[in-house]
Amino acid sequence: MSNDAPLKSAAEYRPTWWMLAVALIASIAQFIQSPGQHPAIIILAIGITLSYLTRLRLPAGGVFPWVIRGTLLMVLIFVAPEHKVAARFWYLDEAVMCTIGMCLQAELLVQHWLPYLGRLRLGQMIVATAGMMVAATTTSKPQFIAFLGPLYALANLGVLKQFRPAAATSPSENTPPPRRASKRWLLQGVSLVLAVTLGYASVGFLHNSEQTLTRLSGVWLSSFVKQIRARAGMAGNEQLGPIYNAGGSTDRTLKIRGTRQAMHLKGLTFDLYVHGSWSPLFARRDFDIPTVQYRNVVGARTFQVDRLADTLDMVYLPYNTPGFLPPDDATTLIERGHYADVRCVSEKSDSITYTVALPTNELAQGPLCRQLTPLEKQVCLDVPGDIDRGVRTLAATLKKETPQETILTVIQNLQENHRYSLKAPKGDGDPVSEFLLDARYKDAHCQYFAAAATMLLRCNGIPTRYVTGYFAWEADGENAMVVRSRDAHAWAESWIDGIGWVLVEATPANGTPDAINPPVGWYQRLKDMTSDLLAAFGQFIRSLGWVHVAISGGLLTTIAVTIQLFQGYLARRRRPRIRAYTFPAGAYRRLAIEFESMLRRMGDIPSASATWGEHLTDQKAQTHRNRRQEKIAAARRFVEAYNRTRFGRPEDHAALHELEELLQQLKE
Amino acid sequence: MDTNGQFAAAARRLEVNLAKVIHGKPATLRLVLTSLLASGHVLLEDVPGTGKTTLAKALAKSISGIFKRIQFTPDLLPADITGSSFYNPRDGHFEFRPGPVFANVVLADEINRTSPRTQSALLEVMSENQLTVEGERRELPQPFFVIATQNPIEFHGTYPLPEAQLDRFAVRLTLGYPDHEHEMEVLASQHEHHPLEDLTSVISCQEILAMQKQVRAIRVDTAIADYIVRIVQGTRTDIRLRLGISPRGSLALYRTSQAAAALAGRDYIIPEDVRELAVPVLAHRIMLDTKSKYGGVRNEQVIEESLARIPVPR
Repeated sequence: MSNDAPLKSAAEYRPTWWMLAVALIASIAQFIQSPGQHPAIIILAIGITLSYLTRLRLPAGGVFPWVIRGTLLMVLIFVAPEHKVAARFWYLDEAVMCTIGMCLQAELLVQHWLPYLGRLRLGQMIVATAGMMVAATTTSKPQFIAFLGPLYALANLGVLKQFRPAAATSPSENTPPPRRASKRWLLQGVSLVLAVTLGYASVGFLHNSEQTLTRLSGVWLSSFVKQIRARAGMAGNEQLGPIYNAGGSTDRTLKIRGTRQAMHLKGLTFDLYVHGSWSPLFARRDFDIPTVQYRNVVGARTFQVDRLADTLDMVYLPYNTPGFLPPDDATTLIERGHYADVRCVSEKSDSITYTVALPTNELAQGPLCRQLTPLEKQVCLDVPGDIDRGVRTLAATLKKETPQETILTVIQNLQENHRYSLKAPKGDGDPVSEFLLDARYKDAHCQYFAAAATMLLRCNGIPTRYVTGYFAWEADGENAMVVRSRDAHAWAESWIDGIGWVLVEATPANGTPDAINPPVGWYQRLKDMTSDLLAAFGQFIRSLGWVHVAISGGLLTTIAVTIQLFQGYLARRRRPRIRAYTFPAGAYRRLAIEFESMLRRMGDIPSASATWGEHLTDQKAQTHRNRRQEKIAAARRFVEAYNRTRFGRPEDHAALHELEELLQQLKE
Repeated sequence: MDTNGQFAAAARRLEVNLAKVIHGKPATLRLVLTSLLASGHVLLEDVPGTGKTTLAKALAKSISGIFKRIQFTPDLLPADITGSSFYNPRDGHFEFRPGPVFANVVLADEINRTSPRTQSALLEVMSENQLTVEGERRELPQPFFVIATQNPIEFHGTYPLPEAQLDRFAVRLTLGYPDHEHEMEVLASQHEHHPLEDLTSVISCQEILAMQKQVRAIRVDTAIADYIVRIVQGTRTDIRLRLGISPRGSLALYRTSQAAAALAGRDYIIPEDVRELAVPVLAHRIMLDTKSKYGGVRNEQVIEESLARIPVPR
């Protein structure tokens, strides 16, 4: 009975060394293919290897393994190379595959630390290592697959060799005996071939269809980006339409810290007007927003802007900003684009924070400011031919002596004769002409007011341009403001010689975003709060270095080990203490110790929980050398005699004496 | 020495007789004999068709005593087992008609097919070798040996045996399917008729009683008694168990080890006897908690681990 079922030891709780081999091969592949992530891979591989050196195990089932899984995945995803989805979205992006591979490695780690009881986990391990291999090989050249593939298949073969249905060892469950060995081998072989084929097939598919997948993702992505832009109310081409900013949601785009002054934050500037559509000047502008480091300007009043949602990578600034300070982070790029806008792109994150300096001494304005170039002046005075002649006539009636007075008169005229309305009915003709001259189209929104003001001022010889951006007005606690998508706005800027650009707000007071937008509801406030918390957590995680991660990992491990040790201590207190060997008292003690040390000298140490007879049977089964077998047989004869005397006639001194002689013979 | 020789010869006769019917399972037959000689009852648990009933019948036929078979069905009542009084109109008295338990060998076939109420009728019988019916104590014939069979409890239409009932079986055994060679033998042996029909009794009740008495005289060193108690106590503190092993369990291990030593021709127990019997004698007496049960822990495994933790007396 007991010959069929050898005694199980605690080693049963850990997976076989083949599984370690597979996990390590996959880890090495991952290591070679993921530069920049070496520390994480090494730490995970060490974690896997450690599981073989200790008998401590996570409790199977329950919440604990899931907590560890979750923690590992969170850390890996936050620490993984951050790639901007909008910037480059590749299915086979190395960073994405590397992250997937490391997540699978984390799963392997968890699997290794669970007690090895059933057969199910073996399959999970194979799947996880296969996934890692695919992750690693996909990012590489085919040669890599050619070298590692067979090695991996071999290792898996070793793992499958250990694979036995659980039923084989559970007679108590009365399940039918296991399948015949040959059938099992057939099954294993087929599943191995299937697994390897599937692995190769998926790698091949991903390789061959890389371009198709990337193109598909590009198509999907571009429509996605278009949606974002439409919702935010910002677009590269501004079309005067019946509905303005209809999708303007209450999601936040900017957070402003350090001021509560309502202001126009300029994003894009437009010069060319053609039949209701504004476009930028397609030539590189020499538009000067001082990008000098503004820290050292004495007395500068500054405030910070957090850009939360990224639409066009723009930096939104007040029109007369003398300077702004980009984030400290070195990867930030500042470009001056076609729209006379300022773009700030961070490789690391969508949300950035920049510091805006407010003018203290009219740096950007006044007699010293840079003059317009002739080209700029020409463009900002251009009135296209499809503008009705009536508009020019109307403009002539509004002309005053100074540009300042003209601007005021134009604004006054627009606000007196037109009413604000979010819906602007559109005729067939030029929208600006219809708005100004046709009685049916007198109600419109800020785009029309701004465009009309621009045209009227251009007719009067004042260089003017059309500007879009956000109107910041909503307070957000003490000395802070928040700008939402719905706060998108349009206005105009005019150039006055000797003063510079001035803001022309032609929209009536009841039409600016602060007047038309109600306070946000509780749901939006909750959403804001949650996203703030998440952002703060992400910031915290990103600020952690590898040292921090290692320390916290060490701390977690220490805590886990302490808990395990404490549990072990409690369990030991409950069960009787196990002493190494129990030798009888009296005359047999010396005999037993001598025989035991003789067995040790023979090169194998008997377990305390096995009898000498069992130990010698094992030894005999392991050896094929005649001499050793003879020795073992002699030892067995001694054990029989010893047992007969020790357990049968302990008081028989003659027998004891014989035993001593027998032991002496054995020693010789 | 003479008695020892007789003992071995009688045991050998029984073994050979059983092996005529049950092919390729010498270890299981040896355990059945061990249990019989230790005055303990046997529970055979396996899927249908593996020879449980055949083994029980073969054993009964090998002993020249009274053999009764109870087929446990869902509608069986306690009185169908114990017997009851009926009215005899001729002399106007109630007369006790003994039930099937009044026998030397009782085969309780498919014991888990009846309700726990009926199963419980066997409790007193099995532990005290006596029966109280209608307030009157009745002795059972000696030797008294119950051999019960059951199908796995996962199967339909069965009631799991109560813990108290399980504890009264000295050993729980499984037969398992025979291997290819022995299954061929089974087919060949039943070519004309069942070999069970040819079996004759090879041992008398008196001989069995004498052998049981002889078993009790086997020497047990205190170190070995200590080892038994350590194994049993190890299960009582195992956190995976809802129920550890009772003193009845340690007594059964003690007694069956004596029988095993006697069958091996020794008059003293060695630790190997205890270690070989620990699983069949103890595994059915423990109860796993739900978590371990569904975590894939087996009763046998718990006992084996308990053995692996405890140092063997040298």
